[in-house]
Amino acid sequence: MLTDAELVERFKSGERAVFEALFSKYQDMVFNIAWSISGERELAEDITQEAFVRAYVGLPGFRGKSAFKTWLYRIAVNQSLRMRSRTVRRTEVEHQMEDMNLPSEEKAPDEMAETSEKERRVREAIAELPEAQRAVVTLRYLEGLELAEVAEILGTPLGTVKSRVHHALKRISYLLRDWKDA
Amino acid sequence: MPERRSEQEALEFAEKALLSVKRPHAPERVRERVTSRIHAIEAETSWLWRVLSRPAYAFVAGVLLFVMLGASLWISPAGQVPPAVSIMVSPLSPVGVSVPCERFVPGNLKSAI
Repeated sequence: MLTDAELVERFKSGERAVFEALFSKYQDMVFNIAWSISGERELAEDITQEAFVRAYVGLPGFRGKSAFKTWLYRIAVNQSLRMRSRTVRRTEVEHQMEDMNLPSEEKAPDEMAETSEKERRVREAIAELPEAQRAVVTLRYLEGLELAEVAEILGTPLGTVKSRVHHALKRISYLLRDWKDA
Repeated sequence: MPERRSEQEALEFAEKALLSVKRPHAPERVRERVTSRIHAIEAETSWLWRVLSRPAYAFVAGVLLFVMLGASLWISPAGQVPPAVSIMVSPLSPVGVSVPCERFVPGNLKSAI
């Protein structure tokens, strides 16, 4: 099996089909980040699509200063934050037009089953966090990265990352307090 | 001390809750959407490449670019056009009329072309 660096080299030398392998390898990772940061599954699909399209277009210029995975993480996080803030702005306008009372989109049964009640609560708690904390928590706990890696991806000092993790954990603990007491 | 312990417990509880979230699978339709977007990008790129890779088209595109760049650089604010521009412009004129090169305003140059 080829490494990321080898796949990237092949892509840059014109073998565009190898992007399929990179997509297959990282699609769940990007989708996970997108879902966690955006807080919406449907929006996460759009974000995942855009992140991979950006990666495809930007890959010829990728210099390999960081690992491909780190670079892709960065694209996924930035894209998630960008598209989320755009959606939040749009939602504010939609809320003002709520009198129309349109029915919300139903989730497919398999998607419902995939997210258990417990997971749903945790995801809701993550969605309550400020943007910066949400990104840190997603990379640290949902993606299982080391704090130093999180700092590198976000371009943030390690101390700041640690502090954000600490505040985020306290907030999540508070948001899930009824569950903790039960 | 008990406060500190309860804070530690709260942090551990939150960590445990976060770690219980499983990584979801991206739906298959995401792959389809990415593939179709990439095909569209490839089609656009290859169209441009097909045009630019033909020597005749590439030459015409180059000359046009040169004329536009030259005109934009050489037309002074007073509307003075140097003879070089008329030389560049005349071969492109469909009726073979050479462009007079006294005093020009940019609009005249455009209509002459």
